Order: sequence, then C-alpha cells, then structure tokens
Amino acid sequence: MPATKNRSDDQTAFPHVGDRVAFQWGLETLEGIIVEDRGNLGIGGARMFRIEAELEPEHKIALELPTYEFKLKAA
Amino acid sequence: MPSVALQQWTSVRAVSLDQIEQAHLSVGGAGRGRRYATQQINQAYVMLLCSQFQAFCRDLHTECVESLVTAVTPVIMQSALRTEFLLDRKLDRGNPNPGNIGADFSRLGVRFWPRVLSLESRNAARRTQLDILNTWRNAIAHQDFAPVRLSGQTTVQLREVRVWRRMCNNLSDAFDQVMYDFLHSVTGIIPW
Repeated sequence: MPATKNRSDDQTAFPHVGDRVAFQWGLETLEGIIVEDRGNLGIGGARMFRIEAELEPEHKIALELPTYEFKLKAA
Repeated sequence: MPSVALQQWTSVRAVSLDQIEQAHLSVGGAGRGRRYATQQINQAYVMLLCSQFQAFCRDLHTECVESLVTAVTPVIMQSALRTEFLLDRKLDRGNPNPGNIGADFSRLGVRFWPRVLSLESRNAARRTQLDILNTWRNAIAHQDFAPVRLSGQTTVQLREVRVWRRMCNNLSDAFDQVMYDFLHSVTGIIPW
C-alpha cells in the first residue's frame, strides 16, 4: 500500500480536519495536519484547507492550500 | 462578480446577523426587564458583527493570497510564498481593527488604507467607526465598560449597532474593490 493516497485515484477520500497530509514546499515534501476547512476560497472556487506543519523541530508553519496541492496520508 | 468572501458576507453572514436583530425585536414588554434583555442582545449583536466582519476580512485575505501566489513562477515556490504571506496573520487571532486589517493586506504589496480612503471620502469616517466598534467589542468581551474609553457610555443601543453594520457593509465593498483593482493590475488576471 502506498504511503500517500492521491484523491484523484480515490474519489471517496475528502480531506477533513485532523487528517495528515503531504505537500510540496519548495524542493521539499512536508507533512502536516489539516487544522481548518476554509471553504471554497481558492481560484475557481477550489476548496482551501489550513495546514500546520513542522518545518524544523519547534518551528511550525501554517499555510492554506487548495485540495489539489496536497495528498492525504494513509492513516 | 464579487469575491467569495463578499458573497458570503452578503448572504450567510448577513442572515446570521439578521437573526440576532430579529431576536432583539422579538423580546416583548416595555419595562425594565425588557431593557436589560435587549441590552444583552445588543452586546451579543456587537460581538457577532465584529466576529463576522473578522471572518470576512480573513476570507478575503486568503482569496487575495491565492490569487497572487498562483500567478508566481516557479510554481514549486508557491507553497513557500503562501506561508510567508500568512505568517503571523493578525486576522487569524486579532480583532478586525484598522491596524490589523491594514497590516495583513499591506503585506501583499498594496498601500491598503490609503487606497480604501481614496476610493470614497466617507471611508475615513467609516474607519473611525470600525475602531469604535472594536473598542466596544473589547469592552463587552472583557465586561469592562470604562466610560473614558466609550465616550461616557456604558450601554450600547440597537441603532448604534445598525450604524456599525452599515459601516461594515460599506467597508466590505471597498475592501473587495481595492483588492480586485490591485490584484488585477499586478497579475493581469481577473481575480474573481
């Protein structure tokens, strides 16, 4: 089983608060947790989620990403 | 078409505000008990108005960040840029006062309040009213009605909250317009 699930392959997987996700951050792939569903505020009404991730130990970042820019991590 | 944030302000958020105003009107009687009950509702109305306006501003900011970031290349840097624009965003935890709103939107590269003020002369008075609304919001949240901060008042009237709501309506239109013009001129793309 792959470490990440691509939602384009799995239409039943919809992101929820608390889900672990992986996303591209510059040249790195970071892992984070969805902390808020921001609604359809993205380009063309894309659903946006606020995600918190640890960039380095004790250095958390928060960003808001549309669904197509992150992948759900398997539980 | 307005931003999603403005669409929500004029629909979902307006309904929520209408409901609390309806609660005020539905409190019956004419005695002292009614005056006390309506004062509690007025205070709740102030809190709700302030929180809904904060949510509108925060939503509009998110839309603006998204519009700017998706116009940037290389694409691989977009998420890092998003993080920078959202870093320590005042509207994530602070009141929607003129200072916090200006600080967050100005970081996107626009002289926010000067543009809002140049849009319409009455926006200067509306900015002052927004400051007063936030002062009342804090007084209610902390139950500290020091008259020196509230122009000698210790209660808030429905007609005052209605004035603040109209002010929020007018400023939400202005914010939407200013950011539309800015984003369009910077990216060349119609943002919403």
